[in-house]
Amino acid sequence: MREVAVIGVGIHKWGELWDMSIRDMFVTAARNAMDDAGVDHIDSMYIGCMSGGLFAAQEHLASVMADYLGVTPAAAARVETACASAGLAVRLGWMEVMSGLSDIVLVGGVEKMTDITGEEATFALSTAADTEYEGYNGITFPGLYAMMARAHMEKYGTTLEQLSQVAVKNHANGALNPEAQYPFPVTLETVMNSTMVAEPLRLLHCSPITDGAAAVILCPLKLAREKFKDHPLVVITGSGHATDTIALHSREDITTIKAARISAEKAYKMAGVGPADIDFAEVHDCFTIAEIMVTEALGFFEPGKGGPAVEAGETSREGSKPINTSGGLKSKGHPVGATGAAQIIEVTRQLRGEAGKRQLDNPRRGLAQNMGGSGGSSLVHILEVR
Amino acid sequence: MKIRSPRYHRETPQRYRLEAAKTESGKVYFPPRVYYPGGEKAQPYKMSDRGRVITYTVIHTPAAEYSDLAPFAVGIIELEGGGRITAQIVDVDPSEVKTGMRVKVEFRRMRTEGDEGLLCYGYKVVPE
Repeated sequence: MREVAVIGVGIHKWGELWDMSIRDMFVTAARNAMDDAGVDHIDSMYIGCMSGGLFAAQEHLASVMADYLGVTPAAAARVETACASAGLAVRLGWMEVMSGLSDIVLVGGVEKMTDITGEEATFALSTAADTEYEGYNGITFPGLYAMMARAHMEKYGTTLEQLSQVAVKNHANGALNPEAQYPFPVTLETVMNSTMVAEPLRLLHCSPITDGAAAVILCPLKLAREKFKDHPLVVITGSGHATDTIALHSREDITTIKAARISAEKAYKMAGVGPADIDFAEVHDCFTIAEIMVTEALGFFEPGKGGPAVEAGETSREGSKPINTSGGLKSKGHPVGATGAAQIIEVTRQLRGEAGKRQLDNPRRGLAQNMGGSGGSSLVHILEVR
Repeated sequence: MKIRSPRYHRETPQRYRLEAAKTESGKVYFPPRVYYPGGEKAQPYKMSDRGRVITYTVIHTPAAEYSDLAPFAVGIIELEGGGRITAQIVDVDPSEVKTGMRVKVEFRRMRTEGDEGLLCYGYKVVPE
């Protein structure tokens, strides 16, 4: 089995991009990644996209993107695990390079979310839950995480202030990220007085609706050492993937995200490290409660201590375990099919020392956690700089 | 999104009558499945119409199909004897819903859908 390096990263400014189509966005990010790596061809690619059909009335994205990226007849596949689709694309590309099947593989994701109305987007997102037994009864994604938040608050004493401080921290980070959809700070008061969405979650406890794409180029470490020397070498040392029940109500414990824990355990084992060895992480803060629950599931904090950790500043850029230096899904935006690749990009940039004003002090090992639905799937990758 | 009648009517035994399945070890699956984990055998099981609220939320920004109802409460309900459902909690001011509250399942109209105006029914819960 070959070690796999990240040799190129590409993204673009995210937001409500009414002038860009789904193909424009993906090709922009993909070309940026190819230029960053210095490659002129790819052997294959994996494109994460939750719902090209419901959001953009376009399926068969493999051929759309291979065509418009000008790489036909390269192999291409669109892959889907809801909001973890790009994390899955990364894992499949990593497997293909590791196995020796291909050398240069592009992995990424895209979602075009603003061509439809907010209510239509709420419905499209709700199909990542159990359509017949959750969505049919009126529950939305904010609603599912709101029910998890209430259970976590009642079990552990997690507070609304702690949920709100996740948003304050992530916006403070995102304010330093020129590609973020909402690159500005917010105050605790603004978060706590924002529009109610699903009690107890308000608008600023929720990640936004976003158009965007992201892409990463992978190749064998040996080839990277020989040919792609423009950047410090970043290696994927662990990959983990796990599933859980589709319906939240089918889970024994809704105060923890089991798929996140198990996917992390698999990645830690492969990398030969534990939670204490991770210098920083990008995690799936689709709602601020998710960041708290995921940091617990990853083993960074004991169950119930994720909220107090945010309050104590441990997850800020200056803290012991910086979380979501990119601004997270909250500030950077959440084009659902692209998010997992953007997380890999932020971890890579931090490890290369290319994170600009939000650069951490010489980090050596980072983790990316990407989640589908209410925790029905989770992917974890561990990256190290060599 | 339009629901065509075959897709709607497939779920009728569950939505109208809470028909589930109970395995030999006593675990309740709702809806019944084609295959049960571990290869367990299961028998049809009609879930209780009484239960309590495990957790809940009040939806202020619903999906399009439910935009007329907002704000409305939705919760996870644990039914007596086993089985959990996600259901709207109605006939009560959403601000008065509490975790642990005892509720009763009722058969209610959910929404109308499609060009044909298909009437969709299902279960909601009310305070007991």
